[in-house]
Amino acid sequence: MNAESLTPVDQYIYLSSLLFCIGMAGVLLRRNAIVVLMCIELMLNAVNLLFVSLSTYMGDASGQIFVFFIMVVAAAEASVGLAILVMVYRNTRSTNISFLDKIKN
Amino acid sequence: MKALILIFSGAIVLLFAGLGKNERKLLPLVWLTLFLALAMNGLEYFGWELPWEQQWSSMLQFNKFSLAFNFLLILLALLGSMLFVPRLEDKGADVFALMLFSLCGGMLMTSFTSFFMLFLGLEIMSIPLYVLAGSRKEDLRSNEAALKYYLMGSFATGILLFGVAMVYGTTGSFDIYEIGLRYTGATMLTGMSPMAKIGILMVMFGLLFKIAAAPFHFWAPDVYTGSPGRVTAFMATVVKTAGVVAMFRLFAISFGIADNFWGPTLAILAALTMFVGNLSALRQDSFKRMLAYSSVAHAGYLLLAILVHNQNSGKALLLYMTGYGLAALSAFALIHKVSREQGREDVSAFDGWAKRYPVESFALLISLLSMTGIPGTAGFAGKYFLFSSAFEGYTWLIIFALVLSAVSVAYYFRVIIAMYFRDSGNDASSVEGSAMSVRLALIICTALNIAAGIAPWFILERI
Repeated sequence: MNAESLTPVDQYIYLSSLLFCIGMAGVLLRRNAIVVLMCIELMLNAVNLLFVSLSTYMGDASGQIFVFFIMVVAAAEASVGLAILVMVYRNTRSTNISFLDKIKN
Repeated sequence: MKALILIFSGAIVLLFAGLGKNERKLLPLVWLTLFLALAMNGLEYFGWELPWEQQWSSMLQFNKFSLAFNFLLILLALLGSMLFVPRLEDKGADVFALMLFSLCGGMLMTSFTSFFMLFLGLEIMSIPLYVLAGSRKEDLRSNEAALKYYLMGSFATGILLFGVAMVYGTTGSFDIYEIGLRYTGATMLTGMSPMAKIGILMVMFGLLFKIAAAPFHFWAPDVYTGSPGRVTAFMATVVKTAGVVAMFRLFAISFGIADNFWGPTLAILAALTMFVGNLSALRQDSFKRMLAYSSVAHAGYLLLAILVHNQNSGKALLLYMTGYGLAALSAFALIHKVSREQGREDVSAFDGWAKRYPVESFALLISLLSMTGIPGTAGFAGKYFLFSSAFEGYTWLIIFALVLSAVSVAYYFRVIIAMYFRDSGNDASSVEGSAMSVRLALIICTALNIAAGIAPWFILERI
């Protein structure tokens, strides 16, 4: 395999930036808390992709180790987030985050 | 490091102790753990057991700077656990254990030397807090606070991580000293690449989210108001300190060379934070919400230390955080007391307080004066040293900050006037004395606040 058939690293950077932006737009625009959670996961996975491609590009393994840490933390975070969501659902019977305006009033 | 291990094992023991029936013994166990950790941290600081500059395989570094801030974090957590008497329905063990875990994360954030530890510390600190914010499960406001804090917190983590990836892509390293060296070389040769600039900005935005600086502060008032009082006090003191210190460390060591790139952005955001925090606090009726906005305003002042990022501003940061932390702890504790007695948190709930609770009113008076920055309190000394360290480079910003702290007198003094110069309608209302531990902690907070105001050199020389 010669070097030209490999995808250059900047395309990976563009792809993961795009994925990250889609995730960010989802967090800011969607009203369903489960979709927001999925969008946060998308953002973290975009970061993972970026880390792995940069790490391969530079021939340095520590970027890939960082990805493992992100995965573990993301799993812990998602489990806490879903638990909070279940708690909210029990009290409001809804996962729509626009119902959450009780504090201001 | 030993203090960290001690707190961590204390939290695990506490979780198992919660299985037993002896709920009464839990709180003294928390105090014992934190007190031992405080003593151990002091011993480490004075080099009795370990040399200062100990590095843990280029991940953590416990030097005078981080040990001094760790001491402050543990002290604030200890006083915080004394100031809030648990309600009967609170089981206790899980709440206290989560708080200790969160404190461990905060201590990692003051002593990291690698992005690994920054990220892990941030998450170890944040994830227990998401749970803690929602620890009153039946209360819809607490639920809302937890969900908002969770969504905003993990969003901020995502932004921070994208920035870290960009920084890694331009330097090939996670070590903050190594990154500093690479950026110094790059700036001298070619200037910063766009990728490095995006990375620095995104790391900055991610951390600004965590310390609730404008324009990323919109979650803070709701979360601070909705969370249980104990958790709010923890967020406003321990978490804010850890976040600001982590940002200071990172921007001083790694990105310090590029400060003519990120400096102007951060200066504008600092001005915006002070403006929004102080002006919104003016319009609040609820005292808790007012303090939440005032905490945003204080984050703006703290950003001055990061802008200057030299030795002097690090010292001023320690002094300022001591003053603000002690003041905020006692203020939030007294709001907690008022809301339990009268079921409301607005300023008029404090009418005629001075007659009924002389000790508590005096503690609140001193902490409000300290937050305003009246001479003789730690808040004044902190503001003085912080502003004078930044005066050379950012004169316009300091003048702006001084004007806004004059504005802040208006809302802090509303509470003082209510306490001392208004009569409550119902004088017959029963006076419920505070618990012994609460009173002791209030006295310690007030005494330390005044002592640090009179002799600030004692704290400034610690770093």
